Order: sequence, then structure tokens, then C-alpha cells
Amino acid sequence: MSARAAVEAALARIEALEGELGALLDVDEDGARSRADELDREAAQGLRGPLHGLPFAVKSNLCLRGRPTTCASRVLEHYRPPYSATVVERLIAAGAIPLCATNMDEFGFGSSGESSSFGSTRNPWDLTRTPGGSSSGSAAAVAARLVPFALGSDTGGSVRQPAALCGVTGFKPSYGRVSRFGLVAFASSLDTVGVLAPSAAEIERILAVISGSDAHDATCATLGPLEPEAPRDNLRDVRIGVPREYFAEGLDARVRARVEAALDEFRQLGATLVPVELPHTRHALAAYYVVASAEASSNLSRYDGVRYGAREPGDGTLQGMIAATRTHGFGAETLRRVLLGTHVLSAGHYDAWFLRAARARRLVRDDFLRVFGLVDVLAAPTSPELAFRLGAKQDDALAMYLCDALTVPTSLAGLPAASVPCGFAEDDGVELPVGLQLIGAPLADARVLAIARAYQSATRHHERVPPLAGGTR
Amino acid sequence: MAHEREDPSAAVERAAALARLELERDTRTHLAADFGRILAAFESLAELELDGVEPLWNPGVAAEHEREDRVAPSLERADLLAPAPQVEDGFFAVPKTLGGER
Repeated sequence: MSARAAVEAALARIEALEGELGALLDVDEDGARSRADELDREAAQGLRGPLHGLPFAVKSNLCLRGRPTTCASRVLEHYRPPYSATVVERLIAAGAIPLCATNMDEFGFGSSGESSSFGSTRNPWDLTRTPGGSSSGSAAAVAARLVPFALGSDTGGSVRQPAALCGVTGFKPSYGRVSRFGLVAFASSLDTVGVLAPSAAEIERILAVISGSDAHDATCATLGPLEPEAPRDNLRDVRIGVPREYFAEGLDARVRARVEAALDEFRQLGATLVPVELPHTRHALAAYYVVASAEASSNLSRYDGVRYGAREPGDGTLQGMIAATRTHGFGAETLRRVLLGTHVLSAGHYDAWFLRAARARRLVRDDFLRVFGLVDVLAAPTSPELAFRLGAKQDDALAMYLCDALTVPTSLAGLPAASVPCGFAEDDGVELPVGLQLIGAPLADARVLAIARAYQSATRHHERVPPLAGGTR
Repeated sequence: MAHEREDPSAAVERAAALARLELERDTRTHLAADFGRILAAFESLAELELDGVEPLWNPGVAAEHEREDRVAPSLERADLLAPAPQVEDGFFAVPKTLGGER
């Protein structure tokens, strides 16, 4: 297929389904067509990059030069960045075509997509339900096969949880494995750029292009691009840790049953399952929300009405303008996070909250490092529950935060982790996807993806497409 | 635990002032209720024995690097100013900080 035909096919899917999904905030039809034509001319001369002609979607917190990069926030509604993120530049150089920007929870603050200032994305498996978040549009777009893959970002689970709820594969690399230059900052010690695609094999190809050191990002490891491991037809030499704490109270029984069945599939592939304990897991959610909110409150101080488009005059003074711009520009969840973060950093509260959380973070990380002396990867549920109905948790911030209970420990520790579709469970007569999380040791990104690929070679859960997008039950 | 319990409304008001936010009374009341519940749920951190545990500021899975201190091409001034709501003589412009007309 020519690059132009691939772009036209994606545009036709978008035309047919986007009205129902609300997955996208911008579609660059002209730019994608002209880039595709250019690629087709290059191909005629024998020039083809490793991702030649693949259209892709970009989460709206990754800069795309000259296109709206809004983070689904009013405060960036009119912002057009003067440069593109390193990951986007590398994909373009490899022949991929940026086609659209995806909807998300504002600045990444949410687990349902509902804190977008531009409307909620709907789950392609059931339009009354959440696709998860914060990479809600990226997950829905891949699940509905609008595009072959999408970029997301994962600070506390924002790639993995929506991947699980939408039945696609999502990968969060090790902290520092992929450049964050051009990713709008949420929490700098946690943010990673991730990828969503139907399968781990596709994610490996994309990671091989976007990973590796970047002179523009000092937090990016001085390593070359990821090299995928050789395919394996069994997992006989693999030890998989099963952390007891991830199967505790609060886990939906249907999710548990499906994940346990998936663990059996791993056993049939030859893997050895090893029960392990990560005793500080129960403190991870608090540590995460304190650290992430604190960092977010600092990062969001830059939205002051001076540099990024939006400005509200307020009472006409500088301070009044800054306060009016921020207050009107931020949605409810963003206000909550900024206030929480400011509180835990403020005089009199810093030691009790921020410093304690940073210490607890070390204990969470050390739990992982200890078990990785015994096992190759950990397997656990990604989300404690199935996709819930839109609106179900909107008035309960704490209930929303609990959606991240099984993904934030990995983020605190900076570990690579994938969510792979591992089957379906029924709720109210609708079959909904379940995701299994595979967590690796620091910088063992290639190992995690290779194990995910081996699982997907032996199972077909990831091949199922939502009925809305042409799949059959 | 070391936490002095602060009234959530007062805490929200104080944080809002520090974060340069002007909250309507309803919003403030609503956020204060959330604040109280969220911080109470996070009190579990107080149970941890943390003496001698060094804080972990970032996961540090890979060595960070510094680049050479050398002038290199960067973005054009005009491109950086383009998204600004107000520009004067090649600079970002803001309202006067002290009284008077802008």
C-alpha cells in the first residue's frame, strides 16, 4: 500500500468513527497527505524508512510544530509550538506520518478522559464507558483502528490503564529510556513517553526508532536505541513474579479471574511463576499523589498569561492578570492538583508530606529491586476494574485516584511496564477487555516487550477489534 | 504523626494564594471537602518508619548527562514570541507591575 493510500484509509476511518468516539482534538489532513506524497516519491527512488508510510496519532501534550498542542486545556487552547518533540521528529525521519492529535485528561490529570476541557472520549467497546486515561484518545484511536499506533505519555499509568480498558497493548518505557524533549511537563521525575498499538511486536519497532539518548534532554540515558530481542516460541527460561499485593482487596473478581487465567497461559508457555511480596505497595498511591501533585504545581506555574497564548486581563494589574488567566484556564482537576501540590510543598507541610513521600518512594523502589534478583518480570493486573461508565466517578476524586493503584508503584520506581490484552469479562451484557501488566527491571525494556510478544504469539486476545470498528464477537 | 491538622478550608485558601488562583466561594468549599478526604486517605504515609531512609527524588535508573557548555543554534526569537498574547519590541509584554496605565 502506498503512504498516500494508508493516510486516506486512516482518514476514512476517522470520518466514519470519530464523531462517536471523541478521540481526537486535531486532524492534519493536508499535512499528512503532502507528507505521504513526498514519501511515495522517495519510495519510488528506493528510499524507505523503517516505519515507511505509517500514519500515527500524537497525544496532545507532545509538541507538533505549528499544530495545536493543547494538553486538552483552555490555557493552551491557542498554543502552536515552534518545534516538535524529539519522538515525533524521529518517527517522521523513519517515514511515519503524524496525522492527528488525541484527546486526553487535561495535562494528564485523570484516569477517565473526563477532565479534558474539550469533551470526554468514549470507549470503542461501549460508548457509554470511559476509555481510561489520561491517554484516552490515543487508546480509543488505536482500539478503533483509526491509526496503526499512537504516542501517549505515562506518569502514573496513563498509557497502561487506558490500553487495558480499550483492549490494546500499551508500553511505558524505563524512566530516561525515551527522550521527553517536547513533552509538556506534568511531573518531571515520573513522566515518560509511551506507545499504544495492537501488539507488542509493533511497539518494539516503534521503540527502536524513538528510544536512545537525546542532546536536548539531560534526563535521557546515554544509551542507543532499543534492540528487540530474538523471537521465542516458549518462556521456559523465564521466571515471572506474581506480587501478592496486586491481587488484594479492591480488585474486581472478574479482572482477577481473567488475569489468573492469563497466568496459566504463561505457565503453559513454560514460564515459572513465583509468588513474591512488595510490602510497601499500599503506600505507593499516597506517595505518588503527593510527589506528582507537587511537581505538577511547580511545572504549571509557567501558565501565567505571558507566553502561551491565553490571557485574561483580570483587574488589569500583573498579579490580577496572572491569577485570572490561571483560574479561568485550568479545569477542576487541574485546580485540585495544583492546590494539593502547593499545599504539600508549602512551609510547615513540606517535611510531613513531600519529604515523607520521597522517602516512601525509595522503599517502594527497593521492594522492586529486591524481587528482580529472583525473577525476570512481574505479572499483575493493570487496572483494578473494568471500564466504568462515564460520570461514575466524576464527583469523587479519591475514587478516581484509586484507578491508578496498580500502575503508580512502577512509575515511582521508573521501571518499564507493558499492558497486554489478556481476555474479556462481561459487565451489564457487554464484553469488556482486561489488561495484564508485565513489569521489568530497570532498563529491561526489551525483555518486557519480548515476553509480551511471546505471549501474543501464543494467544489471540490482542487481535479482537470492537464491534463498532468492524470486529465480531 | 508530624502532620498538624489544618482546617481544609484554610489550607485551600492558603494554597490558592500561593498558587496565584482566585477561587469562587463555591469552588473553594467543594475543593476543601475533597482536600480533607484526600489528605486523610494519604495519612497512611504517617505509619511508615522512615528514619534513616534517604528520599528518592527521581528513579535514577540511568545516568543523566550534561552537554558541553557551548553556544549552539536554537529557536528563532520570532517563533518563540509568536504564541505570546502581547509582544513589544521583540519582548514578551505584561501589564505594569505598579499602578498607572498599561
